[in-house]
Amino acid sequence: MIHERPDRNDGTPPTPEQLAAFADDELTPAERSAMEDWLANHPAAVAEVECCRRVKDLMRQTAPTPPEPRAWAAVRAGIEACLTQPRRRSFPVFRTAVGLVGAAAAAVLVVFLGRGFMAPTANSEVFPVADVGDVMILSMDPGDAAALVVGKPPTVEPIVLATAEEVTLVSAEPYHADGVTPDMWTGQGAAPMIVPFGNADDREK
Amino acid sequence: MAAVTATCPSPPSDECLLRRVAGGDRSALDELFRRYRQPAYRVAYRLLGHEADALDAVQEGFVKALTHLPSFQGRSSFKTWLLRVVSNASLDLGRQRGRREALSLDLSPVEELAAARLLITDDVSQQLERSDLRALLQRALATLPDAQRQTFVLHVDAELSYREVAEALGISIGTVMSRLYYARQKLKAYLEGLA
Repeated sequence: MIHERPDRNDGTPPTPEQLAAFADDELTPAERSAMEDWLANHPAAVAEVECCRRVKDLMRQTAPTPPEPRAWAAVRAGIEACLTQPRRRSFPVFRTAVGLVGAAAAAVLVVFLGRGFMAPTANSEVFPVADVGDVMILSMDPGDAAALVVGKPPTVEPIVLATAEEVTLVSAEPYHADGVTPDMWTGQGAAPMIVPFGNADDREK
Repeated sequence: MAAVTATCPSPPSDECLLRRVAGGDRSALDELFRRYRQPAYRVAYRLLGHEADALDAVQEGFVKALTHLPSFQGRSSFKTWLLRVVSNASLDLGRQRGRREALSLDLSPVEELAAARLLITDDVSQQLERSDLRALLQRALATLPDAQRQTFVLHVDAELSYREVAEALGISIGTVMSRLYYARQKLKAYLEGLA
C-alpha cells in the first residue's frame, strides 16, 4: 500500500512520486489498475514512467563486479577477527542514557557559554550531526520550530535544544583511557551539559 | 528415550542462524555472510565507488550488525537491518576518507554524450563499455545528498521495497517516495546536463 492512494476517479493527476511508485511496481493491484487507466488517457506521462524504469534498469545492469573469492575470504577473516577481539574505540564513548521529554530534533547538540567554561573558538572542532544537504524538511509542526537549528557551524550564539528539566542522566561510566566519569552540569541558565570535567562547586546535584 | 535436539529448518532462517552465531557457531556466520555479502557489497560500492573501501564497509557493517544485535530487536528483517548498518558504515567511511574518484572516466566528449543519451532515451544503438557506463552512473550518484543516495541505493541496488527501505532507515514511506523522486530528478538533470 502506498502512502498516498491515487484517486483517478476525480480527475486529479497523480503526483510524480506516485508515477515513480508505479514504475517501481510499488502500487497495489487496484492502484496499479487505476494508474494504467489514467496513463492510457495521458500518454505524455508515460515517458516519465519509462525514464524512471530506464534509470533503474541501467543501475541494475551496471551493478558492480563481485569481488574475487580471496577478497571475500579476507573480509570474512576480518569479521572473525573483530568479533573475537575487543574493539578499540577511536573516540571516547560515554555509555550514558539520557531521557528527553517533549519535542526534540533528531540529534541534540548542546553548547553552553557561561562562567568558568571556555567559549567556542573559530578553531573548535565541530561535532557533525547532519550536513545541511542531508536534511529535507517535508513537514513540521510550528510548535517544533524552536527546537530545530538550521545553519552552518560554528555557531557562536548560545544554543538551547533541551532544557535541564527535559534531560535526565540515567547512568555514566568511566572512560577507559583516563577513568574520568562524565557528569551533567546544570549551572548558569537552563541548558544542561554533559562534561568530562566539572567544577564541584558549580554543580547542582 | 531419544534426546530431542533443536535444529534449524532447512534452509535455516536468519533468526535461527543468528541464535547459532550468538552461540559461537562459525558455520552459521559463514551462511549469513554468504547470504548477504553481495547486496551489502553492491550498496557499499554504490555509496563509495571503490572496491577496497566497499569491502571495508561490508566488514565493518557485518561486525557492527552482529555486535549490536540487542539493538536490532527483530523490528525488521535481519537483511534490512544489516543493509542499514552497512549503508551507514559506508557513508561514515566516505566522510572519513573522502569519496574517491576511483574509477576514472576516460570517455571522449562524444562518448560522454552518447552515454547520457542512453540513459534518457531508449536508443539501444549507443553501445558503451559497461564499466564506463557504471562509472558515469557512479559520478551522477555522487552528486546526490547522502540521504537521497542512501535511499536510492537501498531501493535500486539492494532491491528493498519502499516499506523495507522505510523500516531500514526509520522513515515514513512518504519520505522514501519523496527522496527517490528527488534523487531521480537530480540524476536526470545531471545526465541531461552532459547532453
